[in-house]
Amino acid sequence: MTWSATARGAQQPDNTAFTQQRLPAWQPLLSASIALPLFFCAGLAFIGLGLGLYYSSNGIKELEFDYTGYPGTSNCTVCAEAGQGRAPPPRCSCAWYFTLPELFQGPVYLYYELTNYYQNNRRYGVSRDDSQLSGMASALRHPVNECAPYQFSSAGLPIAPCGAIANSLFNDSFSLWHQRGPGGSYVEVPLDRTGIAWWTDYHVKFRNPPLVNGSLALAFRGTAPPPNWHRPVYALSPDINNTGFINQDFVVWMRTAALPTFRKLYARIRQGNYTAGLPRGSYRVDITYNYPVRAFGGQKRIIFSSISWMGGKNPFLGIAYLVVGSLCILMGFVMLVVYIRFQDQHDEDEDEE
Amino acid sequence: MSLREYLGFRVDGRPGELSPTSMGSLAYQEDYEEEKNSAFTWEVKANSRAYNSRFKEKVFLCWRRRKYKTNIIRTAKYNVFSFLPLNLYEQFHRMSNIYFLLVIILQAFPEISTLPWFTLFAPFVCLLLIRATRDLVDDIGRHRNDRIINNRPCQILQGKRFLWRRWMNICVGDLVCLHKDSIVPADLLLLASTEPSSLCYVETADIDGETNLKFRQAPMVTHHELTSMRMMECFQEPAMPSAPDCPSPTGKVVCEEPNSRMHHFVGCLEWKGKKYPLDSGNILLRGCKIRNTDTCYGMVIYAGFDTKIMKNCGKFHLKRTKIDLLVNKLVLLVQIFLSLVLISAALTLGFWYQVQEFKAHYYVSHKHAHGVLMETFLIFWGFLILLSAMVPMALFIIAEFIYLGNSVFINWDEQMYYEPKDLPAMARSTSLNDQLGQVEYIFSDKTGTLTQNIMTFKKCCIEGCVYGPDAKSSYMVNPYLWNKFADGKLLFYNAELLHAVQSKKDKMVQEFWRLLAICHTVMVQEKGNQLLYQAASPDEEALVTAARNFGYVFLSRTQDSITVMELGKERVYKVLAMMDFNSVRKRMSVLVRNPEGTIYLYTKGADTVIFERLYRKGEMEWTTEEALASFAQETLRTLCLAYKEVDEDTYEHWHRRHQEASILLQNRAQALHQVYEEMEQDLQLLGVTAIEDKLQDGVPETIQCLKQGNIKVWVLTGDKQETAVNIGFACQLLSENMLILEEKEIVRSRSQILETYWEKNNNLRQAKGRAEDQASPKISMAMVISGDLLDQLFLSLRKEPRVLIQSAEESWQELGEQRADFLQARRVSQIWQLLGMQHRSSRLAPQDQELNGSKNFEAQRERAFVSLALKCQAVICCRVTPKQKALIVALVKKYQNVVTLAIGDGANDVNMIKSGCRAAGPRGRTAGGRLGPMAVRVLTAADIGVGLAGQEGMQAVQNSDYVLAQFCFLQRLLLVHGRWSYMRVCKFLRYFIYKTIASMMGQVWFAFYSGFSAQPLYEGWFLALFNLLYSTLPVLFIGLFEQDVSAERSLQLPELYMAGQKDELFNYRVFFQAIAHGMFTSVVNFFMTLWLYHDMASPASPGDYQSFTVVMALSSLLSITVEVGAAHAPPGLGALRSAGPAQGPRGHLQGSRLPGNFSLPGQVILIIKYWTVLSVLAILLSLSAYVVMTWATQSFWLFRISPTTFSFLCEPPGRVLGGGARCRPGLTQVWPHWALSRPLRLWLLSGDLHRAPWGHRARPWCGTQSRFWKALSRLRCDPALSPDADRNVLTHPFVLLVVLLNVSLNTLPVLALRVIYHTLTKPRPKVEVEAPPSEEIITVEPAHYLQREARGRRSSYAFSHREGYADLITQGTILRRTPGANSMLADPTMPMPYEEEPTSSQVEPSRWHSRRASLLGRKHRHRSMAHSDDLQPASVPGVGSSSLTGSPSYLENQFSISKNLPPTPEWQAGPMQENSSTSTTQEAPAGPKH
Repeated sequence: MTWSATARGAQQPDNTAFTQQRLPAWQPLLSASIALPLFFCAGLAFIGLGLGLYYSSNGIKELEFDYTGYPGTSNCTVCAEAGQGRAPPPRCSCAWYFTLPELFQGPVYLYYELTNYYQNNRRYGVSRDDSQLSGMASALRHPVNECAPYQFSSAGLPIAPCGAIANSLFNDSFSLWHQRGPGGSYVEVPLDRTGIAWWTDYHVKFRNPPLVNGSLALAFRGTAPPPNWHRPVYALSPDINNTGFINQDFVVWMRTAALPTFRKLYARIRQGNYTAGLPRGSYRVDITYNYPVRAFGGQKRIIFSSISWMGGKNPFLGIAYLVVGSLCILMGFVMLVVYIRFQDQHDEDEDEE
Repeated sequence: MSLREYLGFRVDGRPGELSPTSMGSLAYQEDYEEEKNSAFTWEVKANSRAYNSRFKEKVFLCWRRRKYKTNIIRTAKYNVFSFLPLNLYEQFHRMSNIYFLLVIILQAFPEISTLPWFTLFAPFVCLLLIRATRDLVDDIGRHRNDRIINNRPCQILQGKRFLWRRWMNICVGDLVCLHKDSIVPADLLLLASTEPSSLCYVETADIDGETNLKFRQAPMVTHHELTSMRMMECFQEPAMPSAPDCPSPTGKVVCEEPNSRMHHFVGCLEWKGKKYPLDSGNILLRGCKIRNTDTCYGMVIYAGFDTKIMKNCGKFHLKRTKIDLLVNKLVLLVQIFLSLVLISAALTLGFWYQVQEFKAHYYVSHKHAHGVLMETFLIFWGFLILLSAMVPMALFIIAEFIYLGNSVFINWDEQMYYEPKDLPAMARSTSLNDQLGQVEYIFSDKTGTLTQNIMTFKKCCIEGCVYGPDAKSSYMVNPYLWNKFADGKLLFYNAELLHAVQSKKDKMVQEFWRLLAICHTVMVQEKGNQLLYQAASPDEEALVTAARNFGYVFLSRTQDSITVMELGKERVYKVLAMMDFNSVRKRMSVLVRNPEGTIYLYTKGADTVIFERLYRKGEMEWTTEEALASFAQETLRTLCLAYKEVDEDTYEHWHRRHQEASILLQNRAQALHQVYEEMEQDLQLLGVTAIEDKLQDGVPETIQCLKQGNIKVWVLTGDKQETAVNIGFACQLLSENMLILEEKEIVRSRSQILETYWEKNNNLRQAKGRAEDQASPKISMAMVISGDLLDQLFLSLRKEPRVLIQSAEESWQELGEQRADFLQARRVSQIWQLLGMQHRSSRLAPQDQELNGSKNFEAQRERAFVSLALKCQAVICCRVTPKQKALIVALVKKYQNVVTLAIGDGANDVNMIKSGCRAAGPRGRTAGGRLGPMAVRVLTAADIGVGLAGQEGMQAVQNSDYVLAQFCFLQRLLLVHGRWSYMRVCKFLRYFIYKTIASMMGQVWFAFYSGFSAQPLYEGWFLALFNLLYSTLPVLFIGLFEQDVSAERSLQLPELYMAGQKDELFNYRVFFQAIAHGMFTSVVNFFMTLWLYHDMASPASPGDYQSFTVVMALSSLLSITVEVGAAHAPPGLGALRSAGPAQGPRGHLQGSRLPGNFSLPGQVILIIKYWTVLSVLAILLSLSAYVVMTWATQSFWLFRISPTTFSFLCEPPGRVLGGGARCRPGLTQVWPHWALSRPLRLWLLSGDLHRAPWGHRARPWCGTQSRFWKALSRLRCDPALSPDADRNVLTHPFVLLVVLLNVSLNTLPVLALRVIYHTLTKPRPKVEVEAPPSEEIITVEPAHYLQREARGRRSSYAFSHREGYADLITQGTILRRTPGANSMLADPTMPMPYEEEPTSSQVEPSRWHSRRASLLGRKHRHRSMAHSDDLQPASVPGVGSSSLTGSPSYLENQFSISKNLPPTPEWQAGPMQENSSTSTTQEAPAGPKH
């Protein structure tokens, strides 16, 4: 702060556009004349997009069946009733018959849907051990505390995979049978149960612990399966690439849903004669009914769906785009009206002045 | 034991010193109070460290430390070890930090830990680090400063010689030796100096800002005794046990404890068994500069923090801006309370029901192990943590950057750089920028602020003939070259006058200049060949200098003679009497006998005074009066000159009477006055001088501009009314067509005006509400009031302090209560106002209740006065003391919730400028109920203090928030930087709140779909980095670079400034608007996504949590980023911009239309109205930060390190389709770029439209797209890992379509609304011709609002300064008689005048008492100084100070003695000493001459 001591001009600020806040700038003045074309163009674009989306969504077929077994809905009622109040529920099967009058354009995906199922409950959602699932040997023996009460079995063994999510693995199974002609025999339609998980999940996030003597079972020795499971994790599938933590059903299940109603991919139909889709004819889905949902008022559905470039059937996106596009155009018109009305007035005012 | 008891006698027995004078203001009251309490316990033994260190004071329990502090100054807060703990301690003093800490601690409980630990921890650590760094940098600067100061050199007596030491080595009791121009290191008792009578001249510019010299005098006893080095040794404790020459014990000073009263000191010197009283005239204060004194010796009494100046360094508390306060309130109240408590509670309640239901959900029921109540309780805290992200921690960090940045821009502004002094503007406070945009009242000092404080001789009128300056160009050479004494700086050239002077024909002209050369109290000193004048006021110096240039050179003076060089001829006038100015006499006269023996009386004075005393009034007088009037019109400061010849008899007669009067013991002043009055009669008018008090450059323009910006300028000055009014006119603050309410008018009819006014006001308010406020400003009024009136008016000042102390304990309490009431009321009104309820117009209303409650008449009157003053366009307060200045500021702040700015350059402005006043001292605090006035003072500080780095020292600058070099820069500071800062901060806040709400409310909505289980919607890392990184840069850009209109336009349209005054850009309404907008965005984002996802069968199963999260995050981020481009701009800009130039800068916006148009902030266009490379860069960078950080936190690498921390994986390296080897590039890494270039993406997608559905066949673009993709695909394709389905959500067109939909749905309607709104409410500023104040209005006014007569404005006498050195001159204290007798050090045999009783034969009682008298005079001057702020530097500082440094004493030219005698060896202490050490042994102290 010794002003006088410094040399002349030593404290003179730099004269640059930046320091003097005179950067070359573009100051857009958003007037109606700019906004109007913008809105009309955007509106048209959105409408176009919406139409495209709508029609492509309409081209998608979806076939859905609720097999929860609420009284009077399907023949799964028996199973549902049988399982009521019993834990574990008895093994039970039911079936869903349907007929396709025409080819169900492939590729066809088979989903199951659960409703009123809070996979996004925080307590539930955190109840997993990503370290364990990524194949860390140490974590296999020492699951994180979040897994409690599914951390250690009653025998004191660490549970693998630990946590509530794994414990509640969806364990209904489906098989699809096709009857070419009336009265003909049902042929099993091959369901591809691989390739239903995310690439990252399957390859990175979920890894089996290192094999012991070439055996996965040995690797899991000293662990207990989750209480609700009937078989240990290494026995989920005979396929070595689809068992243990990298069992794709398991991986799909472990990717928790965001909302209480969710669909998860069960299988893809793309093999054999069914590459192009499901040909017409009668079908039967054999359902192994294990998973209880009626206790909390949930529903179970099975869904066949084809797919378009933008995903499954979702007319809403197209509709939404149509609405937004129309809105844009509407707003454009409103603006136009307002603009013309008031601009004139302003001009008049100015004239008066 | 009180001081007096201790002394055993009354200090000089003069009650006047201790009793209150008429100025019974707070200052005194404080003094008195403290004096009553001051015990006499401070003992200092000269140079006896052992003795002095015996004194201990208890600090804590048994821990005692030395009572006397060393001279080390430590202003730094921290040292190496204490930095961390202290800084953390300080940081956690902030509410918000404690809150965040609490949340972080809460988060440690796994039961309620809803967010990963790093989400809150990372930003918090950032916050702490940034703040700590800032504190550290500040503190390092302070350390450096301290070090410099502590290491200054000084000489300390050690043993037998003075050795060079550092300031920090000084201890209490040390004897130090100071030389010319050195700074006093501690509070010293002056023991002796080389000047006559041991005077020591000091400049106190650093203490009180006055550059004129003040003198201090050593006690007579030391002056006489301590004449040699050996004697000096005697004074100290003998170094060796036996000091044969020193029979006397050590000198010891006993005095009061250190205190903060600058001009007060009472103590007593004990030496040789006798006690001698000491007062502040004996004390050199730390920070003064020794001037004109070769060497002086002092004994340290207070050191370091005990010194008066350090005691006066109040603690600065941070000023906070309105917006700052508002934001804190909002953050605390609304966010914590509302969002966290209310929403959490609501959600928790939701959970209450849900959890019962969850008991049936067997898959989760085991996780809810506790009872419902307990679970609910836990979930509440879970929500609290989850929603704590809503309290934007980053807001504080970014705000600090923004404030800092805007301050830096102020420093950088070249147009506020003052080249002549190499002074850029400087923002010393970085936290007030936005308030610069809201200033409504400016309180300005006059001298040195509006004016340059340079007086130039502009015109004169001699014998009715006016001489003005000729055109400069007509002189190629300096016309004063013939005169070797001319200083060549006079800019007044008049050939005619010069000719008249040189021709010596016109007697009147000769007498005119002779008068100017003789009749003054200027001191002269010679430096080289130049004469340097030292005057008590710049006016006087200007006059004497003018005379000098015209050949009447004042050469020297003695006690009774004046030597003048008249056109080359030296003449010595014998001074018979000198009748100094004072404010009552308004004139000064000198009675001289010229060399021819004739006696003349020369008088100069105010026109009114002089004209009364003329012996005739002829034509000349009339023309002179006309000239006076015209000078006044030009706002020049005029002075009338008159003289008369006095015959011998009259003189003899008068002289006797004068003698008699001057030895009177009582009423001497009055008697003298009478005698002077007798002499100053029947004068002959000589002429008039006109001096221009030069305004600073651009002051009128600036004031004009500020007025247009609805900023009211009040001038607070210590000047006289006439001067002040003059300046008011000169700087266009006042104009002819204004009603000027003067003191007379206000006082005369105060009971009527104020009270009727108040009543009228009340009625009006009740009747018409706010309409009243807008109605009255049509009459432009101005008010001129004086400090005395203020004293009478303001109840807090009116009462006698003594009465207050003694009687009315309860009255103080009452006061306190009132203040509490008004504080309360202010808070209430503030809240209301901030709520945007237009409370403004009835701002005074809350106080009504208080008023009705207390029925306090005085308060009512005070309020009436203030509200009247506030109605005035301009207010000039003259003759106000610094304290009153602060009080006026406080008063305005008290009744108006407005932003005030105080600007000044001198120490007398410090009170009003200073950010935090010295809170009442410790005693004041203990005084409990009496805290009243002190607390008022704490409130006084203006919101913003601007210091002009002018000539009056640095005090104002050091206490200010902003430093400017010129008044006119204020215009740019306020209208450009202030407005920008305000606009930036407001936009920043609005956007930040919007941003927070838009992104974080999603969490609340999500709770409804996640079973109220406090599941976070966003991933931890996104939350952690969102406010820190992803959305920071655009916000920063807004806060730093945004400009709605250019600087030039801002200055052209000062009306734009009003938006800030009305809090239009950020208030509760804007806040709620931002919240509503944020809600809208979050609702759209969340529910659109939800809806679209709800019934979705897709191979990608985007319904999974991670995808949902990422879609939401991306939608939010993009929405708010797009919103950066679309938000609200300052109102009415478009129109203004287009219409601006046409209507001219002076176009007035119609008041009634303005509020509507100007207050609607919704109409905007784009938040960023100022697109530069930087803004684009900011947006790009923040988005790429998102890309990079997302990529990083979701990378495999980090996942493998810590799968739980980085549980999201977002990288599909590729995929093999149906066993084929072809692959698709890993789009994840680049998808945000896609998001930016939606058309590209759409085009890419459309290319896929008719291809095989997702996930089955080769993606067509894999092989066909650009090289970039190819490269990527090569990178990513790994056929060996052939999984079948790529489930990566963000590569899915559906997801991108959803994001696009969200963003456009968020943006477009808002955009449309704005456009429509903008079109609808397009403000059309109307040009309103400034209505000339119509006569009707004036006539409507009551009669006492009479317009002043034109003559009343004529500047009468401009002597606003105090008395000159007349007393010193006539006493001869400072004058050396003859070289022989003048030797500095006294002959030991000389009688001690100090011990003599005043002899009646002398004009002045005695030397000692003469000094006392002069001290009294000084004291009186202090009082009057308090009245007048131009205790101007005695000379133009530049000239004056340099002149002071030049020669050791005044008048050396006449009594030239060799002062540089060879130093005796024992004095030789260091090499630096040579030229300054003076051998005192060879000079006898100047014996008093009677």
